[in-house]
Amino acid sequence: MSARHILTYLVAILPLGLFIGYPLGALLWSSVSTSNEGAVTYTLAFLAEALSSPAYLAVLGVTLVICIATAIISVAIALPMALFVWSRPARYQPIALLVLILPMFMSYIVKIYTMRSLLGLNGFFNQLLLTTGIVDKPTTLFLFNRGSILATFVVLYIPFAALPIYLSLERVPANFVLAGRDLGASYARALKDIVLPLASPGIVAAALFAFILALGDFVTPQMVGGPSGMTFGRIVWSQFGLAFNYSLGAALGIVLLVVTVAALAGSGLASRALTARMGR
Amino acid sequence: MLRAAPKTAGEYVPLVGLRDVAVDYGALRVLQPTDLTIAEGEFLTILGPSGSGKTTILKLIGGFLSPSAGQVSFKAADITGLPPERRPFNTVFQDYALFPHMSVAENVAYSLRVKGASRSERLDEARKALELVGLAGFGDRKVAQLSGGQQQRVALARAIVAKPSLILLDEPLSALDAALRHQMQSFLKSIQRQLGTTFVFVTHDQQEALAMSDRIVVMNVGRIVQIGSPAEIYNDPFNAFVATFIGRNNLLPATPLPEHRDRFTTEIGVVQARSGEAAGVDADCQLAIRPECISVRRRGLELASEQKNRIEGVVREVAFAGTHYGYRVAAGARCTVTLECSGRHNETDGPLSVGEDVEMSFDPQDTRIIRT
Repeated sequence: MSARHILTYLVAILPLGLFIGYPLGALLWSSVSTSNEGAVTYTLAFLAEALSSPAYLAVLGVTLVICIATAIISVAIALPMALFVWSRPARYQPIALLVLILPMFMSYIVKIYTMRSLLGLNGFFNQLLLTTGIVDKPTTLFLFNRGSILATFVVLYIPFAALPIYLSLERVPANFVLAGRDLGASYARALKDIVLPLASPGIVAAALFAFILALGDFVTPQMVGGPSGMTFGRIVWSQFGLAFNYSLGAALGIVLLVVTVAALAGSGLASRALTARMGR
Repeated sequence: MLRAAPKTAGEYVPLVGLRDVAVDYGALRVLQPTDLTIAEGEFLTILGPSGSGKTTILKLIGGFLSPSAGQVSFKAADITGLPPERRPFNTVFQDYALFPHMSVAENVAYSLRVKGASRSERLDEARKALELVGLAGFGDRKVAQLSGGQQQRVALARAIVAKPSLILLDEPLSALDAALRHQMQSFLKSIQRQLGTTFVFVTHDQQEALAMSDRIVVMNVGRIVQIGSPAEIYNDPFNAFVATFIGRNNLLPATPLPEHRDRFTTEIGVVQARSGEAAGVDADCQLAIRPECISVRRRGLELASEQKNRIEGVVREVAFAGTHYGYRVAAGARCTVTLECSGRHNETDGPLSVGEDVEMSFDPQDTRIIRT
């Protein structure tokens, strides 16, 4: 191997090792070690606690439900949006796509505060209910619960779901819908039989994006979730940021990582099965 | 699969009609008000350069486009507003539009699946259609595993499987190489005869149109210029566009000689035209003579037969084209005549070369007067 080859590999692998390999290794190392006044001891106790504590598992369950719901609702809303952009004339598509993903370029914090001002005690929905006389005092129905976390997740992650769906639609030739209709299928039937199966890799990727982004998010649940909106991301953060129990935090982080990797693997299989099934 | 015998010549049953149909894109009128009747069982070709409106007509028949004015009819029914899925027509698209996530058989049987046919019926019909197009046993393959010519046949099988009243073909041969294109031309024609189904074939290739069609519709800049059999279109072009777009032609500006019947003054001298051609022509016009209708000899040699129109000239270009030699000969002050001589003819005195003095002649019967 020449020096140039070695250099090429170094340029490719060094950042990968530095920015992904090292933190991952550090996380693993932290989860199985603890240091007390400089003395390092190795133990599996933290991992055991993260995997066996009923409190943590319960929160993990709730978090998974919220994240799966986020993925499903985000895709359900993003899919028609992406289809709309895709069915515009070619010259309008870039601008329509830009509008679709514009929220991606906005500050995360601004969007969360916007949701708070919509859902809060003096927020838009409460004002609406008060003005129309449906309630006589502001309701806390909208904020500081699991529903408000879900609603905010969906608002935040719709653009991330819409983009991969649009990108996979873009690879479907525009005349396929026409060809389907020519063969007797209605527009909806042609979408179902021809377009959606071909776009299914993008749909699965969209669900995965929304799911994984929601799973690791600890700021949103904190800002709109209140005390009842505890999520797994928040627990991990609290071990690092509040309890300074890095070992338990790392062990919980590993649980989160395993769930993410499992979701990735599962989506790959789902994507292939979906394309094959829908073509029948 | 085999249906009613093809209509015999002369039996003319209107199937699809366009009445005063026009199409506007914004302020741009891409199709001028047009009338066209398509007869049952015919192979009709719509021929024109790009932008002539030929694909627009195909889209109107298929229901992919709504006319800005006028009416589209099928038999006695007005189908102007009917969407494509409710028209008994199927299309072979230019890029085939085969669905990559379905097998060949699933592609072919898709229209039957939409209609709710059972799986066994679908497989059976797909197998028959694939057999007809010469792809027996290809049903389980993936579309991506097929060659361009095979994909073309699958697209055709998919279009015929539901036994439509009419099949629209949108330049289906343009993506194929020349040898395969010729093979597919005769194949398409034989399938059409076998099924007796009406074919509406869109192309910009005049050779394809001449070889395949019962009737040709020649279009230019959003209008139908001429409708006729291939021989009519070739032999009696309506105007200069048809004369030069279908086959090649020498067009010479001509002025009728008032005192002589059928004689015209041109840049190559006075020319005797086909008798009757001058009737009604009193102003400037063009005289058309096909390159293959002109005989040529080295000056001084006897011409094969005594012909009326003799012109002297000098060879400017020689191009060997296999079946014939193509020559460009300067005649008169500013005029260049294109002509073709078969190789056999040249065996006697050998091919001409650039710079040789020649004498050309042509039969008055081969000339046409094009009114401008």
